[in-house]
Formats: sequence, C-alpha cells, structure tokens
Amino acid sequence: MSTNPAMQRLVDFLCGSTSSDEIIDMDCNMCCEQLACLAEQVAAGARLADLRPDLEAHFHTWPDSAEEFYALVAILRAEASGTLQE
Amino acid sequence: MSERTNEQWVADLHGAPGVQAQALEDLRMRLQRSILYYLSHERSDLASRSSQELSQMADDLAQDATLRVMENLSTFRGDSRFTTWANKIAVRLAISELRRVRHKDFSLDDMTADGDLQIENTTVSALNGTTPPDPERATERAEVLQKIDQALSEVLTPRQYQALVAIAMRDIPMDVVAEQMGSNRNALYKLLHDARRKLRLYLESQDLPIDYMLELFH
Repeated sequence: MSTNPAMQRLVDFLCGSTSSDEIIDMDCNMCCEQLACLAEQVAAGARLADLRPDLEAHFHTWPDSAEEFYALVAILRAEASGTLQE
Repeated sequence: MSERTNEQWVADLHGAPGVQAQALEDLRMRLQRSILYYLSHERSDLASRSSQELSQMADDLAQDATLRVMENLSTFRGDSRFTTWANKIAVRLAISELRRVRHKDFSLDDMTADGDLQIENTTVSALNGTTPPDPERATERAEVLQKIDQALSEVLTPRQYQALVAIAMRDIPMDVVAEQMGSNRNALYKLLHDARRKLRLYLESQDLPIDYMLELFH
C-alpha cells in the first residue's frame, strides 16, 4: 500500500528513533575523527549495524548525514582498490 | 607522491616554508583526486557535466578543503589515518556546497503554516499516493493526516514548522535550512528534536500513538 512520499517521510520522521547527544555531536562536528575511524572500518568490510547500531539508526532518520558518511566510505574503498590513483 | 605517516603529515604541514608548501600541495592534490572521484563516480546528478567542469569543481573544492584542514589541524588526534580525516572534511564540504547550489532558489519563507500541506483541500487518493488503499483505511489515514496537519500549525512555533516541513517533507538538506535560519546543524537538531517531541506528545493526547501511525502508514 503506497503513501504520498512527503507524508510518509513526515510520519517516519515523527516516529523515528531519537539520537543521543553523543551521536549528534559526532554528526555536527565536521572534523569528527570517530566517524573517520568508523568509515575506515566500514570501508574495510565491517557492518555499521554491528559497530554502532545507534549511528545507523541516526542515519535512517537523517539521510544527509548518511550521504556524507557513505561518500567517505566510497572514497576509502576506491583508494584501497587503486581507483583513485593517477 | 610520497606516503607519510600521520605524524609526518602533521609535522610537514607545520614545517619550514619549503616543507610545508610541498605538504600542502600533496594534500591538495590528494583531496582533489578524492573529490573528483566522488563527483564523477558517485553523483549521477552530475553525469551531464564534462570532465573538465568536474575537474574544475574538484580543484576549487580541494582548495577550500585544504584550508579547512589547516584551520582544524590542531584538533587531529591521530585515531584515524590523517588522510581519512582530511577526506572526511573535504567530502562534507563538497556535499554541502553541492546542496547549497542545488537548492539556491529555496526559501524558508515559502514554508508557512497557511496552506503549506493543504491536507483539507487535497483528495484522499492524492494524499495516499498512486495506489489507493481500501476506502476504510484511506479515510482513516486522511483523518490522521488532518490531525497531524492541525498539530503542525497549533503545536509548533513558526520556526519549528518551517524547519520540520522543509527537512522532513520537502527533503531540503539541513545545511541549507540552517544557513537560511542563520543557525547551524547542531542548533537545528535541537529545534527539530523539540518539535518532534511536542508533536508526538500532542498526537498521543489525540489517541494517536506512534505504533498505530507506523502501522497505518506502512
């Protein structure tokens, strides 16, 4: 059963999980090294859901943050595979 | 391009003029390659751009990112690889800039409580998407949506309303909304957290618990 996407997003947002202050601080800090470490682990094959399920839940509610994290993961993977090399 | 350890990166970026200049150039080139990869491989919305255009964008963004890395160099602790940390800053900066350009015509002033959702004037089938649910469920959904609409305009402050509608319904990026509000991502999180808490309390007082809404709309 489909629903108007905008209303679906609003309901999902209202019903979504609430992130801890720690997660929000990590997300708001452009220079957060903890997220850089997690991106390295995910790029190496770890599952974010195993490492930090609370962060994964945060990403579900905040797609902007997920976009930034997985963009970094994609770059790290490309780097590891030699795709970034000139 | 030489590979440096974390310590070498930090030392060279703080080094004597000749050493520092080489480290800065190495860093800028490294970030340029990362950003160019991201723009050309991960962004389908930029597929129509020429490689020259993408390369120019990557150059400009890498320049800005290098400056940002230098501004924050003293905060790097060495838990991650230095280049990962620098790439993180570059990616965030690049994505924020792309969002800003994509939504340059967006105005928060358009997000007013008067008719923004237009639930009362919209047909049930339009609200519920292309596949109409059974009539009883459609009516139930429409009633709930009307209560949500009512809650949005009655419970939230104008600022909370604007932010919530822009982000949760219109998919406007947080950075764009924060910039227009003269705010930042952290403050916006708090604003939205408070807005959501108020809405959830109100809806629960209207016999609309979260579990029920999740079931109704999924």
